[in-house]
Amino acid sequence: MNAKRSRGPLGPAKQGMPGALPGKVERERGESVQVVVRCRPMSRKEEGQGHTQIIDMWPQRGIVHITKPRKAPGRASARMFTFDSVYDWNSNQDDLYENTVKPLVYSVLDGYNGTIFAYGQTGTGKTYTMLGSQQQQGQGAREKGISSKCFEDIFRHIAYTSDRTSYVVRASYFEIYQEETRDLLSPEPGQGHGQGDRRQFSLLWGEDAVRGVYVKGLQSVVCKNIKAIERVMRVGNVNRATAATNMNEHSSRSHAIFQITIEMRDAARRPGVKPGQGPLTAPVQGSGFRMGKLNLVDLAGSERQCKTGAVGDRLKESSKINLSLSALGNVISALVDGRAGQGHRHIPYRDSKLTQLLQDSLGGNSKAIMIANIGPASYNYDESLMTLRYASRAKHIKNMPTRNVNALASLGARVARGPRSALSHYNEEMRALKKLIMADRMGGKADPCSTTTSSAEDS
Amino acid sequence: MVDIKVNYLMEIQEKYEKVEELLCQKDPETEPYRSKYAAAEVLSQIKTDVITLIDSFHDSNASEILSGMLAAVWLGLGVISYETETLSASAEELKNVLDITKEKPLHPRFVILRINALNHLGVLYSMLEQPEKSKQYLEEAESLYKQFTEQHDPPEAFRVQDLFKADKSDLTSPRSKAESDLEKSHTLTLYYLAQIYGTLKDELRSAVYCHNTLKRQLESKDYDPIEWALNAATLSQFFMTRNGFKQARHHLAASSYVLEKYYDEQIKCLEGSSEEEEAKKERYKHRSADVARCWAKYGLLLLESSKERLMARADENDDTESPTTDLTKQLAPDQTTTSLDDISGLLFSTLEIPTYENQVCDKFVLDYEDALPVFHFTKQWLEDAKEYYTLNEHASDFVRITQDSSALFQVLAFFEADEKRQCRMHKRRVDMLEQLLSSLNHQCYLVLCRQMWYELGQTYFEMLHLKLGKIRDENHEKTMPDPHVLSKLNSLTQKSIDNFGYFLSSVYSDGSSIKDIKLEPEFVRPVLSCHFFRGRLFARLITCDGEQKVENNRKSLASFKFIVDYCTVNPEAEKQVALELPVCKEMVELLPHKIKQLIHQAAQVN
Repeated sequence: MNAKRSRGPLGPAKQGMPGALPGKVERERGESVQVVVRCRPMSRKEEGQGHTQIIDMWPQRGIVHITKPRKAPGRASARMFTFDSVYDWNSNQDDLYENTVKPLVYSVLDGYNGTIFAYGQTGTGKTYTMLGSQQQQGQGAREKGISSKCFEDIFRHIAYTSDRTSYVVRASYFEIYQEETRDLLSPEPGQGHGQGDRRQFSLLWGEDAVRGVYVKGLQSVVCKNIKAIERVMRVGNVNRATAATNMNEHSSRSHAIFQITIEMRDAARRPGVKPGQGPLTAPVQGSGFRMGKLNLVDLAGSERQCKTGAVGDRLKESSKINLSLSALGNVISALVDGRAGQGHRHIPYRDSKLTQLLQDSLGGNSKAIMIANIGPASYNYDESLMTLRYASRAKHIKNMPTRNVNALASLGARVARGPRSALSHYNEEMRALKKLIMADRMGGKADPCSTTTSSAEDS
Repeated sequence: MVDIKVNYLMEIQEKYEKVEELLCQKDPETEPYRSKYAAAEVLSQIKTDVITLIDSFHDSNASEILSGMLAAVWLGLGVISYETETLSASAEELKNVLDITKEKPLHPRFVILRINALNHLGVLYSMLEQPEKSKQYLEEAESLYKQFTEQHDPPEAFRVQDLFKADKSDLTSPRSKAESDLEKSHTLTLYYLAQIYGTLKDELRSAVYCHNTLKRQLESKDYDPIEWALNAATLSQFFMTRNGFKQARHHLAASSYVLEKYYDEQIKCLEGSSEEEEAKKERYKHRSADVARCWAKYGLLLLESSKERLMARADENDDTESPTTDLTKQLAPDQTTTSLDDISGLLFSTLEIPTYENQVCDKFVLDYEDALPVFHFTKQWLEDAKEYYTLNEHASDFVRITQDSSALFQVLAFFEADEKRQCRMHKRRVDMLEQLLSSLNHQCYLVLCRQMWYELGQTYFEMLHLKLGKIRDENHEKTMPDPHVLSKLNSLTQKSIDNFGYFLSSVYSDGSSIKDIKLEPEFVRPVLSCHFFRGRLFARLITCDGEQKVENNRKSLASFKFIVDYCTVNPEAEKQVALELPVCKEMVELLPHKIKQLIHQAAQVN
């Protein structure tokens, strides 16, 4: 499945925007999130402690099997999930990057938006997947993480095409912690204040007609090369760690978003205009300006650790009872969501910041990939199962192309008469057409200005 | 009564206090359960102590006291086991509570213990994904509460910690505060039941229990007003999608009432501009705008449901649809597990809210006269919501509100008899949507733009029909309409074609071959439907230019052919256009003949 989906060797991005309408994407994957699951190998320690492996994977078919350990309570013993692709313990960073992530990076270089969500509990290899292994950083391609590989491809592409196009790459880094947004690149004034003061530094979100969703007053750093962008990420990671009193708990509850915007301007066409000056509107055909945005999102860990509802409320597993009355809103929302589907008939206003971000990452101009990491050992059962479910729900996020849920009812202007009369209405149209053709064949003379069917329209 | 030695009791009390203290402690990340394990340790000691005492006392009063303690110990152990993730142990321990209390479940000393144990078992089995079992426990908890409150007035019962008080006065009579403990446990029972019914897909019942939870929060005065108002307004949306407009309106009215009271008591008086105060005001404005949008949805849905009802009636000729907007009257006895009692209780009886309710009707409307006040009411709420949700700050919300406004004019047009006025209403829609589209970044808001393009295509189509109908009605001599009218018709046709075209090119690249177009399932119907519209529209462009006419018919043919070809390549799409496909097939056969004739005619003219 993997092989089929990847576009093969991807050359430098195509030039220019296709067609008159902005926002077109070569869509091979449709609109929903592409979800991949990766499982790390059993560790020696796990084997030593006598844990068994409960995950089976069939990468060719995108299937994951999770078997319940005998000791665990509850029913059902094995479950199967299907994803866009799965990567087992034999896979390496390159497999994942080349097959899944690279196409997304190139679409960003084409002027689209792309988001990579990394999800998984502590100890499942999420950090390894995204950042690579820290000790060996820079020592060999294999150990680099997804983010480094993205940076490499971006700057390699820029180097190849810089004679034709000028680029400005900016990076920003922020985190969402309990619905508060904090800039990881601009250290807070008076850092000793502790958590109580966090609220004061929270940045607001905006969403305007031109830019879409954005964080107000967020620092962004222009990066000229891969070293610069790596440094930005490092600084942000350090800030993230120092501000938190309890890093482990903090990182399992906060989402960190590393955002790269790439402004591209056809160098030959507009020599006088400084890149980055133009409005960030939709690329106008012929202006030679495009902007792509890549979000690398480190999603907060487990549901158990995160009872505040910040982990993308709608993705959450709902079969378990929520103990806190403060979640009554979620319970009611779920009821209403289930009832109204995705139509326009209700207001899903409980969206968390993350959901907002997720929503912005879906749809025609955007691609999104979720990489869910799981551990293979029996004691991980609960969390792995939860991660698989979460990922599986992400797969089903859809954007409705039209507002009417019941598309059949929206058919034709004569909806008022129900589908049956709609049909009779077409039949009228066709009868008129036939009559016309027959009349013509028999030598009758048609009105040169007649519209084919207007007389039949309102039968 | 044989006295239990006070020093034994003192010892137990001290140990229990130690347990409470331990359970309040926050543990380090490395040993998250340290104090819980310690608490369990102490509880086990108490258990041994109590069992020893039970063996030496056979007096019924003493044994009741001691049983209460023992059950409380098991409850404590069960909760700790649950929290430290040893679920099977937890289940056993909680069931011990049930065993001890089963003889006298309604005893003031046992009732809270038992309800809490049942609640926890409910939670536990939901964890184990056995919702039916969970439901059984919770329903028992619910009925236990009902029986107890019927038998005991005031419903006095022992709080769990009171069971360990060595002081005799505490031992013999329940504390006054116990009532609220009982009530709190019961609120949780209802809240958990709401969730379990939700899991079991008994949605109406889940909604009823959500309502009951809200009601109890209101009565206990223990709630955050904004949160409560938002929850009530959200729940109203459940009722309105079930045609329960009476219940929906009641919940919205309650929501507005609570918000307004909150404004009077807490927002109006804010004079400072500290961040905290600003945040408070912002939150109030934000959530008031949300409630405004819910009211607008109410009005819109009431009108749309009224329209659907009238249409269904016209179509079916018999009125099977129930005309009531009151859920209590819609309920067939065998339809659901929810009883009439449950639904008729969907009222916040402690609130005085008729003035909030009476601003809008809750019955289906029948004609324009009925519809107009609902229209104005809804329009006002949409305007209110727009004050917060501006295009500059909350673009997607602004778009959705505008879409609602457009839908509101659309449904009003249905009730309007005069075609000219209908046309004007559609013109309003077109204007607001086009204006919005011109200021939006199509790339960022593609999903919404797409919806608007489609709607514009449909709206122009509708306007075209209204115009054609009018011409036909006025033109009995079948003369040619004057050029001005013709160009108007062509302009409407062209705009409809264009907007459907924008939609299509946002989904796949123009000129893609059908084999390369892979549509997500939810896109199949809209894309094919766009082509169907366009197939009919192209042929309707009026021109005297023979070549142009040929060209238009070719485009029309291409549109119908797209549908036929797409269904050939993707047979699973057929069912989505079951009605249209035969028409398209026939068109694909007929149109080439027509085109041939047109070419022939054009040649003759030249």
